[in-house]
Amino acid sequence: MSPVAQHLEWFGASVRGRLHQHQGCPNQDAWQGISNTSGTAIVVSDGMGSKPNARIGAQMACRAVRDALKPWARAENPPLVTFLRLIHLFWGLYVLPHQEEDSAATCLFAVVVPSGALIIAKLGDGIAAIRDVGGNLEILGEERQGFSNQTTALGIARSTQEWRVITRPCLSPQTAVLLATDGIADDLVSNRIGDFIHTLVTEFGVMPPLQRRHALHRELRNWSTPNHLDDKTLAVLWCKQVEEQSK
Amino acid sequence: MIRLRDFSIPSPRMMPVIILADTSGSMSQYGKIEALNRAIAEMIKIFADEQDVRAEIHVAVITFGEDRARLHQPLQLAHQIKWIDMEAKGVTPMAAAFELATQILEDKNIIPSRSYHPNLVLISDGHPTNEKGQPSENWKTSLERLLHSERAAKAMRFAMGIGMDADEDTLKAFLTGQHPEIPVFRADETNVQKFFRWVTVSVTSRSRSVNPNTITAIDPDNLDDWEF
Repeated sequence: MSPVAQHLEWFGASVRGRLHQHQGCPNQDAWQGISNTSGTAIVVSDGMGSKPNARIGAQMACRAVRDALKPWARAENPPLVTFLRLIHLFWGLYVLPHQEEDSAATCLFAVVVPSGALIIAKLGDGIAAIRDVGGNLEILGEERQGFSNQTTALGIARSTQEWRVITRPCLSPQTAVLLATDGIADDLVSNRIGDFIHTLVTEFGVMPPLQRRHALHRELRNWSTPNHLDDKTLAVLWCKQVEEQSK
Repeated sequence: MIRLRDFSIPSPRMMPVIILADTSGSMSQYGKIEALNRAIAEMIKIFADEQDVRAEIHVAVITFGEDRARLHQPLQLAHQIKWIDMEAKGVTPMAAAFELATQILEDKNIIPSRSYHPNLVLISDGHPTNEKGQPSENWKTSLERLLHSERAAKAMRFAMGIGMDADEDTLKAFLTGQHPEIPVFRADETNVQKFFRWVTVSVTSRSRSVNPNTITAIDPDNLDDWEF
C-alpha cells in the first residue's frame, strides 16, 4: 500500500496516579502524537519515580523521538539502530544540566515512516502491542522478569540492544498499535488486551478530541484495580479503513 | 457506555510473605515448634484481618526438616489460609529450602510480575546440614543463587535465630546486602511471638504505605507505636 493510501490516526491520554497525588507531585508520565513530513508516530514514556528529574526525563523522551525522526527519516535506507542512537543522543542533550541517571525514563514508540513502514520499539516497562483486523495480537518483548516498578530506561540502558523492536512493511487497514505505561500495562487482563485495543479504536477513536480526552481521563481515573497507584498513560495509532481505497 | 475498567484486573497487587521455617528435630525441644506454630497462625490472622491495605498479603511456608524441604503452606491469600501446625523432626536441610524459595519466587504463575516486592523470613535454631544430617556448607551456594535471583534481590528479608545453637553466620548471610538496620533477631521460645509481631508490623506498614515497594526499617524493640 502506498503511504498516501494509509489513513493514519492517533490519540493518547495521561492521568496522574494516586501516589503522586498523595505526594503532591506532578504526573511523571508523558505522551506525544506526531504527524509531519518525517512520519506519523506516537510515544509514551514513564519517568522513573525514584529519580529527581523523572518528569522532565519522560517529556524529553517524547521530544527526543520526535526530533530524532527528522534526520533519520531523511536519510536513505538508514539502519534502525541509528534512530535508536539518535534518540539516546537527543535525550541526553535535552535533560542537561541534569544527570541522565537522575532523569531516567522508559521510551515506547510506534512510527510509520513516509515509505509506509511501521516500527514499534520499547525500552523498559510498559506494553507495546499490535492488533490486526483479524484480532491477532502481538505483544512486543518478553514479559518482565522482576516485580512491578523495576525497569531499564533511557538513562539506565547502556546499549541499544536493550530495546525491543518490531518492524512491519506497513500498518495495514484496521490494524492498531497500543502503547501504555506500566500503570495500565500491569493491570490489564492478559487475554483481553486485543479487546482493549479494539475498544479504544472503535469507541474512543470516533469521538471528537475534547470529548475523547475527557472520557479517557475519566476512565483512567476510575481504573478498576483496587488501590491503583501509578500514573497512567496510553497512546493508540491505527490505520483507518478508507472507503475510497477500494474504488 | 464504554468501560475500560472491564479490561483491568479487579484485584489489588499481591505482597508475598514467604517463611522458611526450620522444623528439624531440635525444634521439638523446649516448646519451640509450638511457639512457632502459634506465632505464624497469629500473624496470618492479623494479615487476614487487614482492611486498609494497598496490597493483598499472601503467605507461604516452606519447612526444612526430616530429610528435605517442602511447601507446608502454598502461597495463598492470608484470609483463605486454614493453618495446619508444623511438626519437628529430622535434620536441617536449609539449602533445599533456599532452592525451593528461589523456585517459588521466580515462578511468574505463582507470583505475577505486578506483585510488590516480597518478604522473606528465615527461622532456624541450629546449623545447616545436608539431607543426611551431616554438617554441610551446601547452603552457601543455594543462598547465593537465591539472593542473586532478580526477584529475591528486591525482597525484604528477616531472620530469627532461636536458642544458643542457632548459626549466626547463616542468618547474617541471609540478610546480606539489605538495610543495615534490619538485624538478626535472637530469640528463645518465649519471644518467638515478638519476632513475628515485628514481621507483621513491617509487612502491614508496607502494605498500607503510599508506595508498598518502599522498605522502611522498623525497630523491633519499639513496636508499641504501631497499630495492627
